[in-house]
Amino acid sequence: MKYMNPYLAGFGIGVVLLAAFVIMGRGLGATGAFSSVVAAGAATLAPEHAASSAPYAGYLRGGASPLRDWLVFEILGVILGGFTSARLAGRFRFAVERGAGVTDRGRLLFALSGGFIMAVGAKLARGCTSGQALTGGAMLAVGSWIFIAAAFTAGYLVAPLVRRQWS
Amino acid sequence: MSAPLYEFGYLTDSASLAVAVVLGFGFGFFLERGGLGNARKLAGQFYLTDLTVLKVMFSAIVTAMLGLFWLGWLGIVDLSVVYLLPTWTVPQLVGGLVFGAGFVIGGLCPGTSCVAAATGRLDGFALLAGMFLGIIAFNESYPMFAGFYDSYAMGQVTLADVAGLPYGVMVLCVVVAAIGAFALAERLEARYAR
Amino acid sequence: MTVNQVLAATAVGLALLAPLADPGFRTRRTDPARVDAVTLAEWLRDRRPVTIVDLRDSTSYEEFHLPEAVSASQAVSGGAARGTIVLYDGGDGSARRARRAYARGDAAVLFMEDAIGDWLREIMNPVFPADASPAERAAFDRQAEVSRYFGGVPRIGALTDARGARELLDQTRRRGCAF
Repeated sequence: MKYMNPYLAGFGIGVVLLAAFVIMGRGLGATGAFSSVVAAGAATLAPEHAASSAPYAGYLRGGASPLRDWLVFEILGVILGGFTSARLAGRFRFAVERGAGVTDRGRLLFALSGGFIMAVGAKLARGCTSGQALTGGAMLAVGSWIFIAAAFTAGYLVAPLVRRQWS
Repeated sequence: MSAPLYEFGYLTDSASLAVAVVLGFGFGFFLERGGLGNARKLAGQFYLTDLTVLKVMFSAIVTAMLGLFWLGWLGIVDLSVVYLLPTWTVPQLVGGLVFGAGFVIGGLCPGTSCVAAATGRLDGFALLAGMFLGIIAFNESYPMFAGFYDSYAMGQVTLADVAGLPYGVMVLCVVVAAIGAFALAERLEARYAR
Repeated sequence: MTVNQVLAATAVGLALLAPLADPGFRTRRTDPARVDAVTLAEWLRDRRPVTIVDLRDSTSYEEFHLPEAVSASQAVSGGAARGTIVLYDGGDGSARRARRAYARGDAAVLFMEDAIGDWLREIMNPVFPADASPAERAAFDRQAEVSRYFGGVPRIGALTDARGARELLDQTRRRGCAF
């Protein structure tokens, strides 16, 4: 099944984001959910370290846990929504998306590295494309627009170096 | 004004978590509909062959921005209660550069990697694993750059504030810029798409 | 018209009207709507005009409440409150529901999430990590100072911060500091 008109898909996401503002007074996000899970994992496996280290402690204050974290529940919804859309469109498939220029293993290594690097960037920037670009962007937050410009710039600069992944 | 609903006490904390799932569902659904769960499609943005990322992202931003402005003007939403993300100029600039590099290397962003994984794509899982490792690495090395992390704080500021423009004028500027970007995107795709 | 044309026309139309909209509608305060224990403690210490309203039932209020907080059951209406209004509840959202009742055009209405727990943790029994950076240490010193002003006991250590309000209250009581 063909993909939806991107402007319409974007409009749909915009409506969802607007609903988040209207219902919750906050926007969407993604990286925060993973940080929350990491902090919970640290609290379970290395509680003393987690409590005494600022980045973990920030997610654990007041007995917070991923079981009560808004973003974690939102990400669960994202997974369900993506799955549902794919099934309805016949696009669910166990596969590795890549071009012919790399092997499956090579692509997975790229993905792993990319995820690692993005996490560092997202932590520094206090968010990712969902949290900063979409949410902050819609609210005209200065830092969010700086993030958007920087992310796109870097993407274009680095793209030639990893071209073979896709060709 | 009685919105945002949660901030005025109309929702319990449990209800807000249910809302999170529903909103997330919509988010993930439309991301997949637009094809953003597919790393090859996403990567096309940076080779000018498929500018879906730009179209989806800025359509979403414009929609929510206009919606927020007008609902605020109508008095339905109390904008002073909607949480505005604070700004740390240089950390977010550097973070954005690093993020953008990782984005084109990984081919997916954190949100879309969940969609990719949910649609069976193994590269989505790999990217998520990388993210968890990256978060741990960041947290563990945090003391080294805690000072930088908190530097260049500007607090909660909007483009309108720094440009010295009224909110409504800024909204118009963003929409005009977005439409211009869309027009450019259509041209580029017509030229470079395979 | 195509879908894209409809979307574009709507967006452009709404955008062109935007500059004409009355700029008087409130967009954003300079203060966030939340206040944390340390900031509130400093306000109280510096005698800033602030009215704290406790929205829990009177039993909880009698047991322990934030310094200078008034119970909602006895509280003056919004009109007689001075300066900034800070609302807190026991976690059932009643503070947020009460927002409109206390809102006045000029003053900010702020909330404290988990006010009792936060006060007992951050002010009465703060625990600071040993491996703090210089910037963090400065923040901790500021917090420790205001903590001592209210009779708190700052400590360096690595206790997990999941201490419940009940546990902290008993701990604070044993020292003879609760009021």
